[in-house]
Amino acid sequence: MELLFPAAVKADGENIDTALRFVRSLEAEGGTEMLPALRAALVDQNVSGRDTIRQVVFLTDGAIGNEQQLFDEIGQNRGRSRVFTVGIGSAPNSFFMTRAAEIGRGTFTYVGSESQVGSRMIELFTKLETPVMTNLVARFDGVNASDVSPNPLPDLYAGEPLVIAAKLAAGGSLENAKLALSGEFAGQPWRVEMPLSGAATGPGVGKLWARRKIASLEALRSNDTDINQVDRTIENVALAHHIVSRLTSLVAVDVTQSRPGSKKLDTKKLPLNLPDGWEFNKVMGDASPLQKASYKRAANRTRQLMAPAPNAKMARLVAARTKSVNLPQTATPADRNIIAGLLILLLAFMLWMTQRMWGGLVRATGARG
Amino acid sequence: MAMRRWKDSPAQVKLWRLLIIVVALAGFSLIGNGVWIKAKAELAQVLLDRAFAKTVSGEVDVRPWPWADISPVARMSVSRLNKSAVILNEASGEALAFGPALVRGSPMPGEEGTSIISGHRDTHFSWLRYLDTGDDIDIKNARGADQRFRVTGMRIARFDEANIDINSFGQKLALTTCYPFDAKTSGPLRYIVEAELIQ
Repeated sequence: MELLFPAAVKADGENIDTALRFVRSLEAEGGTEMLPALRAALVDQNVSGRDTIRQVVFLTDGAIGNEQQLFDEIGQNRGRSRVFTVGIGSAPNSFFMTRAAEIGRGTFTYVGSESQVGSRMIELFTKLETPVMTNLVARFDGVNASDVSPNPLPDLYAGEPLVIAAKLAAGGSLENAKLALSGEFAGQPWRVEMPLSGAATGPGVGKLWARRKIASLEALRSNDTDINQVDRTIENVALAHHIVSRLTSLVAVDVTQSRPGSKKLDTKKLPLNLPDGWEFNKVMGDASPLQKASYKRAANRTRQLMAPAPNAKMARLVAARTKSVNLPQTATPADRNIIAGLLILLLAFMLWMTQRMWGGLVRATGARG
Repeated sequence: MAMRRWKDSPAQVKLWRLLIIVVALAGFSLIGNGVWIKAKAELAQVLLDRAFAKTVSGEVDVRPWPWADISPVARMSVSRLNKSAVILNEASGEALAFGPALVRGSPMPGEEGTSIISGHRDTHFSWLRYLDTGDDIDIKNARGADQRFRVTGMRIARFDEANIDINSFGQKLALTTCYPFDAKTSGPLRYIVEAELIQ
């Protein structure tokens, strides 16, 4: 990893030139080492500075493997920094990017394709440059609230809503309950209070809370020692609210059987696809022997399917290749036997006639002699 | 005269008569065998017909005759030719003497795939040559259900190159017998009538 500026510098012509030259000289060599880069970006030279906001933009188009390490790094060393994540293309996983931004009190920007990079980044920079409401704190008065999320509350940028999910103690009256929000806006203290007595109930609120709860439990996994306990809690929350988590899935069972009734169920390994737009050769180098074999099979299959319309010769070839059922012998010797028998009877009759004739002849000559 | 002396001998005359009797007996036995094969085929069908009627009415382990090791699985009829036959469960040489039979490995008529039924060209399937495209073949299975197949075509192939796919799509039927029909010796050719389930 190379570090260009160890701390924030003024964006004047000279510094921008230096930065551009640095970026142009970079050469990608396959993998992306995200952890050291993130660690370097989070080092704050001015820890107690309260007049400025420190914003870190984490931008990648690569797949992220060591999620937990990166979460830990942000959670432990974020200080006063805000981490904004930007994912380009289909490789970066949205869970990581969203969660990382949440821990870093920033936002996640998704850029679907290269053509959107310009417009999306302008949106992000506009957001970063507009005044923000910082150090937000939510306090519930007159009611016991637990599991408030997000925790910590993120900064509020222009045009953004603040969505808080919290679990209120059962049975408590909301008559005098209030939600108090306080923070700093452009360096000035700011505070607003909302009565909870007028709050409406909604079916999706529970699920929202459960998702947030599970996300925060997942984050706990890094520092908490009892991982099994955390997993059990996640499972219970997910089951109670019917949501998908690392430990629970929604299963739809299609009861119509599409395979022939005589075929047994079979288990086989299937190759996984690369993210959309990736090319196998570029990622893995040359194709593995296994891959080559599978390409070859596919090519052979195609060639077979491309066989010309059947003619007599082809039909014979196909017939010879297809293993078909041998048909049994289906002729009895009955007719042959009857005919042969008749012929032999005829022979016997002729022999008999011969004997009669010879006998008569012999007798005749004998009488004369 | 040498001839006269030879013919005059009574021993010679006796031998000559014996020869005639042996040849005649051989002839009668061959005819008898042929007629027996045909009679057996006819009689077996009558007994099988009764056994099949009992099977359809729900009796189990029905035997057409006490020592039989075959059982009827379906009854086929072609109303245009006024012909019918009871079909046996397995096409071994033994079974084929008594009726057309399902070729081992092929599905029951009406099940997915191609059901192959073979029969002797000179007894039960002697009328196969008169079937024509568009003819209806009715098959009643052992549970009494009726199915109608319609002939889609006829062809001739070697026994080992018939190329009938028993796992084909759809419910198909192939009736096969030896070819040519009037040959007196057995050969490698088979006549195949192909049909498809229509209801």
